[in-house]
Amino acid sequence: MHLIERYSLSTGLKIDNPQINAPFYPVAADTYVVFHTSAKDNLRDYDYWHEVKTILQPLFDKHGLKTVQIGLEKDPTINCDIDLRGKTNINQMAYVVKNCDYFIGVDSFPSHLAGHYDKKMLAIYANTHPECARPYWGNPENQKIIETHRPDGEKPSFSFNENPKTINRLKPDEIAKEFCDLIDPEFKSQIPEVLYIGGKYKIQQIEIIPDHAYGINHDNIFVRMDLFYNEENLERIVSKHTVSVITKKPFKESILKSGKIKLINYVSDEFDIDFVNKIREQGIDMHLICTKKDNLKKERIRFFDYKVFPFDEQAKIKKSKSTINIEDVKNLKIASNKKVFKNKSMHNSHYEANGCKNIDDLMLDLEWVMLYNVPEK
Amino acid sequence: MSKKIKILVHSNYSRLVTGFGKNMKNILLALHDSEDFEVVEAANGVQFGSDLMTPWKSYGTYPTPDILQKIKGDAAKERAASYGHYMIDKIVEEEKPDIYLGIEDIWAFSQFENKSWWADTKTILWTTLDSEPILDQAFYMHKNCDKMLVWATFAEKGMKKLGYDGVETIHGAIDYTDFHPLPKRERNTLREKHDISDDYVIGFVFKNQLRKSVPNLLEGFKIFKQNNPHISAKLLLHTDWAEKSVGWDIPQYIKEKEINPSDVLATYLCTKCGQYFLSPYDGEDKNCGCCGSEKSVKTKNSGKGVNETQLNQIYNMMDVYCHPFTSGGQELPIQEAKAAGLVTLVTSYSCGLDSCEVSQGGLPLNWNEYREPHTSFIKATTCPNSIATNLEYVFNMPEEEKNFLLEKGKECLDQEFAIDVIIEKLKAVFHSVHETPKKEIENKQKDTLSAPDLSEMLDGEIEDRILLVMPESAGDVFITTSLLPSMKEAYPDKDIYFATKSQFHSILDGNPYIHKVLEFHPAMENLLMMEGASQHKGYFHLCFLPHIGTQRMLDYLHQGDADKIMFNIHSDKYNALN
Repeated sequence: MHLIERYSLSTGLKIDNPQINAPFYPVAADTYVVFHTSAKDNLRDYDYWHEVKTILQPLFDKHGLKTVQIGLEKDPTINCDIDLRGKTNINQMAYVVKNCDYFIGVDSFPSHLAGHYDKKMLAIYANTHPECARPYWGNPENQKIIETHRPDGEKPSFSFNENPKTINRLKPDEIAKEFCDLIDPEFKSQIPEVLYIGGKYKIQQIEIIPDHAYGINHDNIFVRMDLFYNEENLERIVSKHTVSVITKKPFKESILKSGKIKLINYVSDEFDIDFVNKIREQGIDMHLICTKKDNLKKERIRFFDYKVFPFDEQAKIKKSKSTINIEDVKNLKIASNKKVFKNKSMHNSHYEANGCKNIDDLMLDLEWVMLYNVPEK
Repeated sequence: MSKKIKILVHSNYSRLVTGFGKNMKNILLALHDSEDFEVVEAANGVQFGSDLMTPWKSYGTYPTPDILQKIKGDAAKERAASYGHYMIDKIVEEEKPDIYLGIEDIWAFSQFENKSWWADTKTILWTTLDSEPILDQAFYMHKNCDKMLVWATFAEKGMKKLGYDGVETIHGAIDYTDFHPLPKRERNTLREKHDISDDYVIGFVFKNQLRKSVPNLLEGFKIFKQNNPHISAKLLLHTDWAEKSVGWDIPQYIKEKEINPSDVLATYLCTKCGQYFLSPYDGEDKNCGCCGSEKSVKTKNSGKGVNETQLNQIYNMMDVYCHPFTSGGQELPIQEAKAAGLVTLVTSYSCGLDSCEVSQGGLPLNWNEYREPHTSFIKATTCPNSIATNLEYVFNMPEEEKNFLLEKGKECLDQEFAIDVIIEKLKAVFHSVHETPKKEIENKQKDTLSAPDLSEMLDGEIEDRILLVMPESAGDVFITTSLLPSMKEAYPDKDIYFATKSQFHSILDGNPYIHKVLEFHPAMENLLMMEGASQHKGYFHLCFLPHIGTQRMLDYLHQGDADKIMFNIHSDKYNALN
């Protein structure tokens, strides 16, 4: 039963048409597609709208469509031609939707508007039945209603507490192809196929193997002393940049005192108490990561004031290998928002940085990458 | 081997650096591998389902987002949520403890006696009661729990005075082992480094909040200086000087009392290199002379203060410790100062009564009574003359008398505040409660919800009004407007009021069917309150709550579209194209 039908039965009233004032709001485009990417709860926010928009951009260009993003100021940007996040009130937003050519969005108020104005639209649903929440007005033939994948008869969670979010089971290429049906079905053949997206794929991070004193400016740099221990280069890097460090063994106090280290991930079977105390004295945030299961409880008591995380490298590799088909991986392209600097070059993963020789490198990094192939032209 | 007694300990998360948090940490560290007890942590301030990474089994008690969504905007419910009200039932059901031990302010346990497990589980409340008259809630919960523990003897006496026996004082289990007197040479070096070698240093370590009597101390210090112009005295206020929103504007008071600003010292800490120094206050975000960092030097704050070793050094640079306050639960710095080898001057009220007597290594500060606005609690305003007199007394105190006091202070700490003493007392309480039959609950309090005053917003008579409630969200408010033509048709003579949260009011702007849009209030979900019951006439002739079946309970899902509606619910104008 749709929400409005429940409201009708509850009140004994008949369903007519909804109403809203939609006062003029200037949009500098004649023909445009509206993206609305966030709902009131993060749960319904899809993490890969940027990828959807990137995949569809050639289609938009072909049809002369500008892109417009509406929503709240805090919503992540997807780099549309016109950014109206946080700039319209509810009623002005209604005007923008009323005058658009196409609408793409999540299960939220603007989708109801798009339906009401009978726009060609696509909306995605995850934590409830779409039949209960989809646009109630408008021609269903103009509406692409996409429900997330639920294998083995799984039902919607009806929860605001999904982790991971089921909406992210939809791959960006699937959404893009469905949208092609509304505007240009033949364009589907040009859509790349996404085979895997890791849970941390969206996080932007720089990882430096300190084989050189790289001079890189970024908010989120990790120096991987655990992979290549070089105090000299670390010292030179922190002399210029604020970084986080992952290390298996202590390094000299002068580096700790530089004031340029914001976080240390200290990975070890058993932690050096002097090093931990020195890190604490400098007020540097620290994660203790225990690699030996048998030591975990003992280390948690020794270092009670810190959270001691467990880590098992082989278990992680095994888990990754059970997630994807290894043979497929070798032929796929890798995209990642984590960039690895090694041998004075930038790579999309440690796997690439190590010459694509050891698949275990990719398995350890799997949650950071998107794997895809591009159709032949 | 007999079965261990399982104790669910419910308080602040054991990694929180609060009095309750430190207490939680220390009792769990002491008991987690005990032969007699099995402990489980229920941690306020951490979300349910999180991994707390403790060496013992643990749960967060803060609600999951779906519950938070439901209680959003209701301050009382949000407060109850922060005390674990919504998740503790699930944790008790999962763990089935022999004993529930709740450690918090007494109001944190409001309505706990109504919980289904309360009647079947042994319950101990270990609470702080810092002012007279003792809250009625404490008497009520005393009747409804198996054992009540308090953090200060003041509270125990207050309850016994009114006939509530069986209350026992156990101070919070705080670890004072980082605090000790430093060798004289080291102490002198420190004083020299901070340029206070020749000064009589009076110290106060505190969180800058209004219950710490800073103006009284400044006034007492001023009198002391006036009476003893030959003494070079400094007042060291180890606190967050920048905290002016909920604390004292200390520079303003120094100015107002015409105290030489260079006589009042602050502790500055570099957040980059961790070095600290003492200096008259000169603003925040200063450059560090030690590591060269810019704007990294601030006065102590609760987020990132000096470490315990440094704090011990700071105590050791003092000559006397003075702690005037209006009331308090335990006031940890008093014990820290005693452990660091200082004579302590403490207001003789509330938990100060456990620290201010000569037999406890302290000297009492006299105070006058005032009543706290709104609560009418008795609070202490410490007499500045008493502060000045005692400062002078300690300055002139013969060495033997001082040593005697320090000895008494150490004895007091060892016998009353040491962790092992506290743990032994707790164990005895656990055994006693476990062996005693469960106490019967005397009575239950009910939730009440007061109605908003709607009368000024309503027109005409009750019979003329209909209320349609849809608290949120934008989509629901928008689609609900489709019912309004039918409502007007059904009730042509009534004024339609639409209640929703203010952020959705504009969706209804200019809607011809609505007489008035009202701000949603939770009491509007009480149909009897809106439509009337018994002598209460209500506010509306009809009140519709269609959201109850969608936002409060899920009474519409039915596999999406498997249900059937066997009659027409659409108006003639409904323009669906399907």
